[in-house]
Amino acid sequence: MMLMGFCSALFLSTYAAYIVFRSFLHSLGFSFTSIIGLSYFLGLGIITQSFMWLWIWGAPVSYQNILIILICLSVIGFLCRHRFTPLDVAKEREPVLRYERFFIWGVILYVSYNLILVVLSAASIPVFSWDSITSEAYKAKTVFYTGSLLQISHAFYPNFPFYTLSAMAWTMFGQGLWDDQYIHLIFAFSFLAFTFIFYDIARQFTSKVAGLFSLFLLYSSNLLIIHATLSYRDVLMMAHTSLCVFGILLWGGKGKDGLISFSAVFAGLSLLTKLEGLPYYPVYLIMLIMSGVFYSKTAKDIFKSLGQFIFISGIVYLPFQIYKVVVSAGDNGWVNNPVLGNEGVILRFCFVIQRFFNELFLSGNWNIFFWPLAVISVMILLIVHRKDPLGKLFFMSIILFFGVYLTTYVFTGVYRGVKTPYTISRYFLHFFPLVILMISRVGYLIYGSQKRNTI
Amino acid sequence: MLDAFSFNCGYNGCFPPAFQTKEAFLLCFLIFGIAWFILRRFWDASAAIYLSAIALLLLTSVPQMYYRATDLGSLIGRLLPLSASEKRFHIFASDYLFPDKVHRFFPGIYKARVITDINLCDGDGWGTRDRLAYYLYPIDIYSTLNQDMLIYYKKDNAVNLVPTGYKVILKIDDRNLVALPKGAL
Repeated sequence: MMLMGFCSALFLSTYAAYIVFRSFLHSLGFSFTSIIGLSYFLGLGIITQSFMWLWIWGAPVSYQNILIILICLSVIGFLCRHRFTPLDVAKEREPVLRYERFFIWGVILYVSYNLILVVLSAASIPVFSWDSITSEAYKAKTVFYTGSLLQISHAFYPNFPFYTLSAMAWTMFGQGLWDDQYIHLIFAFSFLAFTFIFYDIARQFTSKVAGLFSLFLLYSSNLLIIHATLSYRDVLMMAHTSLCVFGILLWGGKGKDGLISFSAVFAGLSLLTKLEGLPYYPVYLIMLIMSGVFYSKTAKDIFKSLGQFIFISGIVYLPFQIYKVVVSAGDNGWVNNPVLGNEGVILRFCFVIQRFFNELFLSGNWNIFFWPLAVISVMILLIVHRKDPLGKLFFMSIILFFGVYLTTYVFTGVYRGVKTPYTISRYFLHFFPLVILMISRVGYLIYGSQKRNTI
Repeated sequence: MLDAFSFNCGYNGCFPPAFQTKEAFLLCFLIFGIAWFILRRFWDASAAIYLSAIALLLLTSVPQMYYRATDLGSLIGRLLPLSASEKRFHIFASDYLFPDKVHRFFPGIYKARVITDINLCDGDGWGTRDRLAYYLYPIDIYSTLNQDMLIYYKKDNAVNLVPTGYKVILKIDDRNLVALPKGAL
């Protein structure tokens, strides 16, 4: 019964988001399974917004109130369902060679096998890690019992965003009692949802086989598999960050303005998921400008899209900013504090680079051949296929994300945490799918597949 | 405490974490070089180098699947027969068991002060404090105003430390008890 209540809460939020966004997402060319996956993330986004707006307006944060909001949104979404015209994508059947069939079935088996492991272990373990208890589960429990967000301001890290804790509290509302036995399933389902979306997007950037290869690479990371079974926010952050960048790159190739709104919503959700969303925000803006430049958009178009992006993501982020002002939850001082200590910039820089190398190439967080493959792909991209705008954009986005962490570690107090094992890898997980798509894009370019119209 | 439930996410193909040294990395490159040398005969340079890496990635995924199955599979096997509270007890021991007993006795909302011999301000103590806070809630131990409950947790000689005006309502043992102001219940 408890599991049914838990799943019904997730189903309700996903279904409401599906009703609201399906015609919009369909108009952008996403497949049905991908729309379901996106609805999962957007549904939890609606829940987060409902939590914050209810609190701002002084109403109790309760199951009934959120249910009313979901019903109202669903009715509005149903009435507006013809507003967007579906994208007319010519469905060509890609010819599949015999040896490719083996590969396709192999990847399907590999993915299913890992998914079963992830879901089973997520359902078996109650919340246990210090981070998730302190920064998420405790706060969600206070919301569950008090129906207010005020108690969060008395807990540790009151400035941490609300996406994950809202999802936790919402599922517990669905259960009707606080029992964290199945709470990790939120993250396992997020991983499942991201799998559907990622395959669809990878297929749009490359081909069916390369899309499946991308899935295989996604599942090759041990760290990601483990994080899909734990209540850390990094899987959600990975989904929101990479979906935002994918949307921007798709906008460059397809030119559909709706993709800017799509990216902006996910940029807003990344701001609501982890504090890292803020330093990533300039990366999104730079990528939007570069995407416009590389795909020869006019300056007017680029500025219009920038305005649209900032406006929509700002709207998504607004209630959290109001909360922070009301409860006086500032930012982490140690992040902003430019502590240089005795080491000096050069020594710090060298040490951070060494730590990056160790985490990427020597840790068991990734398949040991993954990052060498990424380096090879970059070299091929820069030497052989340097005219491919998409490949260059992927490479640029990865460099920017690395740059964010390099500068943060070298110039701020975050340097103190550089030796903590797994932390750097956890951060790199956020843009890991971008690296995968760059690798797949290079593979696609090498074999120059002419099977499908891609961007 | 966590040992019984620990699992190792670091297994990486045929290179378990213990071997993930620079030597292992060099070994990978040696294998990679051989693969490239062979593939170079059939493909152009860039395709050969790319394919070599992919081939090795695919190969290492097989033992990776085995390690995941043994790690996560054994974890699932160990956890499945247990009830939710048994799992929590195995993970957190008394940090879970004590709040659980307190909750059975005091299901309501309180603001409590925790008195303990554990230093709640250092690294390990933080974990204890946060686990107690989480499992005790809606008994709030973070709020410092209007505290109406005293919780003695792993406190030596706790019974003798209860101030006058308070009465021990729940005594689990001499080191773990809960006191309320007289007349509160």
